[in-house]
Amino acid sequence: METVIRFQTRSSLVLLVAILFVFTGLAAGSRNEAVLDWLNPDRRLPLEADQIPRLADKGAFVDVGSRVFLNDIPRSDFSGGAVSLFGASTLASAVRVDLLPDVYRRYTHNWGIPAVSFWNESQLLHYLIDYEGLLEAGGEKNLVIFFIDYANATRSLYFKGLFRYGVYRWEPEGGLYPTPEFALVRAYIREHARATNLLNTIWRKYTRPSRRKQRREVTSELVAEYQAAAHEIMSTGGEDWEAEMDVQVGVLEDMLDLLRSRDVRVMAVLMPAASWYQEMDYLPALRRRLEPLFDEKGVDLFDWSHLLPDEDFSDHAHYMSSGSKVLTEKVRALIDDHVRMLAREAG
Amino acid sequence: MSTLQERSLSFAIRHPRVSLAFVVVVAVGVTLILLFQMEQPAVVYEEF
Repeated sequence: METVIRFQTRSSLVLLVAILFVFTGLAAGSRNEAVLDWLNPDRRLPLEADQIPRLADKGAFVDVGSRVFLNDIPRSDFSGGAVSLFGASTLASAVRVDLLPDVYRRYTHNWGIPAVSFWNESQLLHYLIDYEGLLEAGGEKNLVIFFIDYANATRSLYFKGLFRYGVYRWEPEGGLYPTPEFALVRAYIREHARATNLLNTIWRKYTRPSRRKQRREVTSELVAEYQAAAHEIMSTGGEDWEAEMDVQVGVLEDMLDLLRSRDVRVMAVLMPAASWYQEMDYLPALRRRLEPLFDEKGVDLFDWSHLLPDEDFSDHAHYMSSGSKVLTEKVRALIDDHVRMLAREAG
Repeated sequence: MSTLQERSLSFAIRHPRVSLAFVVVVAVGVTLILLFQMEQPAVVYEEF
């Protein structure tokens, strides 16, 4: 009998240790640079390497938004000030902060999340300020840049899916909050979500080996397809897209007011758009609303919408590495003064 | 005729290392499978 008890005790302990070993292994793996290189060998490729479509580096996560919410936000340090870049997938994939020198990487956060609306950006901004201490160093040590696409001015179908893990509470017509659990429980939920993401990322590496998309030849059929997709995106806010655009621009105005009231330096950029979007109504309609708004608020709006030729687009809206290189350099120039000021003050 | 439980215990006592290795393999395997199948990715735009 004693032997049986001893065996059962021992096997229970072994069971526990094995489960803990799996958890800690996955937690360490999802933070390990060698593992991340293995998952995405392209991630350190210099932008001038060749003419390839640039996808955002998802790290050990199945999508960019999960990386932002499960990795980037919890690991951010705003104590010395920050440069926050808000935008959609075009920002997430094009502006490669990770390839900039160390001093830029230290302060710059690319909060690009696919298909976000201004409303979603506002929820994220409020969350970062209220719960993560984005402005803890003082508003004047913060620079916020909005990278604007026409699709920011409609509703997003994607954003709500990012809160499926239970680390955050998201209200469609309200805000974004941390779940009320104890910090330890939240940390457990987050690690659990990281583990599921890492395992699925490994699985996808073998079941979908070609992460690199091929650029399709631009024909009139393809342009029609892109434009139809744009109509579909803009109809997610209802048939009257201009009314929804007004609502979303109103949310952007609230963000500008909030940031200015906290002495945060603000800029905005109209992201490059290909010719097939230039000829549609959405971008001019957005520009007509933004120009007087930014004038009135005294905020710099940089119009880069004609910056890149169609050859620099890898699909309907995203960029080849050549486009990404141009944008990354331009953003670097934009944030240079602020980053140097923060570095100087940090000594 | 001994029950399955008695036979397993008897095997475990005679071969403790094999039994513990079995426990480890099952624990690791089940944990990985459970964690793996819990992920429900947000499908739209996941490629970006």
